[in-house]
Amino acid sequence: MGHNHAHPKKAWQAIRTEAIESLLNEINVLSSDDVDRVVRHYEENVGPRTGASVIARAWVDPGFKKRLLADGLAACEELGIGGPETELLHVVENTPAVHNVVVCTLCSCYPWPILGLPPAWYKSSAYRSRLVREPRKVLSELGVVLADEIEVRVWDSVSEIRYLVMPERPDNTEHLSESELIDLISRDHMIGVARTIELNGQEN
Amino acid sequence: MQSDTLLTALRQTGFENLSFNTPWSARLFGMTLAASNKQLFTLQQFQAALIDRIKEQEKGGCITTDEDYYSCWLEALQGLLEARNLWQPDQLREREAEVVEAGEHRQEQQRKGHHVVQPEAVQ
Repeated sequence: MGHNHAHPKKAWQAIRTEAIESLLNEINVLSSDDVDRVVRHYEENVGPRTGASVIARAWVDPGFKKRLLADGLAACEELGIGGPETELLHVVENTPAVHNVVVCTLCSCYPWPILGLPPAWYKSSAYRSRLVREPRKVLSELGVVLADEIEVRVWDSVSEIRYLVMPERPDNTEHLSESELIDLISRDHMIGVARTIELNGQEN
Repeated sequence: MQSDTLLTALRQTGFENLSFNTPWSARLFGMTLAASNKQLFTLQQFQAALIDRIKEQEKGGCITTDEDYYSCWLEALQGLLEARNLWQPDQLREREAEVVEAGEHRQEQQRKGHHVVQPEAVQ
């Protein structure tokens, strides 16, 4: 391909998106500030650390954990976490005998206010179609090899329900503060495509 | 579909970031939530439209990238807004042409080494 310093043509999606935003501006339905606010909030404030803070609180506070498992959204609201995008949040707990994993087979429903934006693979046809059919195989491809005696529960985010996996608190973490616990929990743990929690730099 | 390796490949394609991969997908996401906040539609209605669009897309192939996915998102949003008759059928096409033209104009200015200037600042 010759190099003539020409800029690449704008993608049709970029053109249409800009055109729609411009029309919405023009008819005073939506301002660019309205759009900016949402984008900035999701880019700067929301991410998996929010979900990790919920899980860490549940690890250190049995009363909160009970409320979280009973009504995820109400418990998150106690921590000032929530948003219009989640109607019902169902928190599912991993145990030595059970591993939970979340998918949305129809589109890509995801607890945005709790975990931020979903990764691309979560939205892919491959993940969405295969996880329900062959969860152990998909999980092993993602590095989670489960013993046969561990039951796998696949949760399909349908309708208004969103799921969040509560990983098991690792052993020998009693000395860690809540914020140190938060650092141990990743987005993948809360989707259920990771299980083991590494104690980085910890003696134990 | 090379399904055995696809997921692993997807996780290695650099799409692991938690932000938007393209500026247009960020605007699209922001517009959708903002429009829903303004009650142009509910997020449930949007979700239903997105599911329909994805189903249609997957009849012909797989969604493997963020671009595939947000293209479905764009068409779902467009469909919901057009159902409200917010603009005339030709208006969107015309506005797209204007966006292209403005972009070409900017590129031409940059190619000539000119700084981008506001039209009213030009004598």
